[in-house]
Amino acid sequence: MTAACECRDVSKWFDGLSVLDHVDLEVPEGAFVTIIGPSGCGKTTLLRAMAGLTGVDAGEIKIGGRTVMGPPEGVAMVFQGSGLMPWKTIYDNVAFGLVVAGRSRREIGQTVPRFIEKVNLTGYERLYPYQVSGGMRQRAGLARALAVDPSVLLMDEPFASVDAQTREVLHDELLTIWERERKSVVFVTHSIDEAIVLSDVVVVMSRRPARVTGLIEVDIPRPRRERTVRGHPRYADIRERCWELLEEARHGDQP
Amino acid sequence: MATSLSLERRASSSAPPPEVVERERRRRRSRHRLMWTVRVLSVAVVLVAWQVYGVRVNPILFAPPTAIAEAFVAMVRDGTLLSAFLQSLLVLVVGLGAAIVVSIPAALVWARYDPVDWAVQHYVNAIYATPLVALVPLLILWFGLGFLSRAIIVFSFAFFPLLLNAYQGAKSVDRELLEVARSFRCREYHVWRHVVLPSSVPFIMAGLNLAAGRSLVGLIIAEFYTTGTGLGYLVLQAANTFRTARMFVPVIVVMVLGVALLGVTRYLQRRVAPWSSQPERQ
Ligand SMILES: Nc1ncnc2c1ncn2[C@@H]1O[C@H](COP(=O)(O)OP(=O)(O)O)[C@@H](O)[C@H]1O
Ligand SMILES: [Mg+2]
Repeated sequence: MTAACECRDVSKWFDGLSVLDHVDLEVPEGAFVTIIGPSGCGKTTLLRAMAGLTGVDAGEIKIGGRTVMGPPEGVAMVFQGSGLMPWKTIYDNVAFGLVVAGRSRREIGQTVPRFIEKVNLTGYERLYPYQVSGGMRQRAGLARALAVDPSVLLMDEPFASVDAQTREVLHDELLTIWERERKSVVFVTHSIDEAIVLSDVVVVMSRRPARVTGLIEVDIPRPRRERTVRGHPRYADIRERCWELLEEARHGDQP
Repeated sequence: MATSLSLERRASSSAPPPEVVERERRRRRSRHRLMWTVRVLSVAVVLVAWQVYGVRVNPILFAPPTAIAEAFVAMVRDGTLLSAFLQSLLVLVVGLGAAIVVSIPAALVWARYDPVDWAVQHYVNAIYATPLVALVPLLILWFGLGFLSRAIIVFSFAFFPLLLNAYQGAKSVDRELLEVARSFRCREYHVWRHVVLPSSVPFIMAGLNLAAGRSLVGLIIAEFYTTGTGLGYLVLQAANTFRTARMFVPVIVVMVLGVALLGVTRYLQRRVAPWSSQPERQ
């Protein structure tokens, strides 16, 4: 079975500054994988490389078995700042990927309302991004990515800028959607709790230059909800292991 | 602590009572009335002062409002004002219209392709820094004394503010949005259509605002220099024959035209780019 996404010995430099250092990572088909690591370590860079938005200097990234050279088909990204066009309504923003892919008017008209409903934005279609809350903007960004029916979904700290209560609601919504669709997801965050609540596997990266320090399997059964995960007997234990690895990543082999 | 909590709760409770709404409405209405009273008074004071002063001065140097009104009626009656106005309007529409149509695509290409940028940047800066009035005689030498020449002068006055603003707009496109477009595998056409052009719209509108004013300056200068048509010529003709009251009439018409143009561009700005006048919500 091919992995949905694999990074083999990936390295990258920015003007001589080493950012990714021999990164090896495999995302199985249909898995929810979360990457955590100290801020500035290179998580966004790795995700952008997977999305084909930036090249790598050594090694190879494959999506669906094919080497990434520029934005690959079947991959959609959810951006940290939501990345909505301020001049488009919520509806037109969600439709964006379908429009530029040249889908028929009929197909767009059927698909968009479905995904708007999935992310609970029904009734807000005609509003502009500046008229809705940050949480709603992130929902719209998610709907836009899901609407093109990608096999791999890349999410870069999508909930970092929303308040804690909204974030919990968004987690539950994302869990509901994901448990139904089973897309392969690579999710970047700097929150251990978010990582455990959402994912099957937590990947811990070291501080810059980023390497994979360890993998932690989250063996908490699904369907999950934020509250049930946090109340689960395994939760504290998994959290502790993530925390230790992250501490190691933060302080380990200081130059 | 307890009091502040209860205060907060009361403050956030639903609609204000009717007497508060009524008081607020009355306050706003009386302020509105005061504003208009002050405005009308200010116009009246100026007109009266102008009239009182105007009738005492030699009519070659100045004219009172009543004399201007008389001249206005006369010029409307004999048709000179309307025909001059239409001649001017045609030049303005053609010159400004052509400037809009040419400058926007030119600016977007200039901004999106680095080699074009390297090739033209210094020329545009040089021309923009030159007072265009100095080039008017040259333009007339090239294009003659007719309609074409006037339209080209208006065009050149309107072109650069439009070009530079549209360029700024295309340069300041949000990089994340370009990345969004790229990640959805947009073709170049779609990047322009969905990202570059709309994000330039507020800048283009600001350019249009500037260009509207500049094009009027260009228009009057063009009509001063070329043969006898338009509002500019009416000004010149009246001044040369020392009919000062008649001179004020086209000046006031141009002023009204300018105010109307600015009103139109402001209206367009609000209509075309409603998001740009809104404060960012975080
Ligand atoms: N385009 C770029 N040019 C130069 N340096 C960059 C660029 N993008 C990121 N970096 C640097 O690479 C490092 C990793 O950045 P990033 O991947 O954004 O980290 P993270 O997402 O983990 O916080 C940072 O030190 C950042 O300053
Ligand atoms: Mg980041």
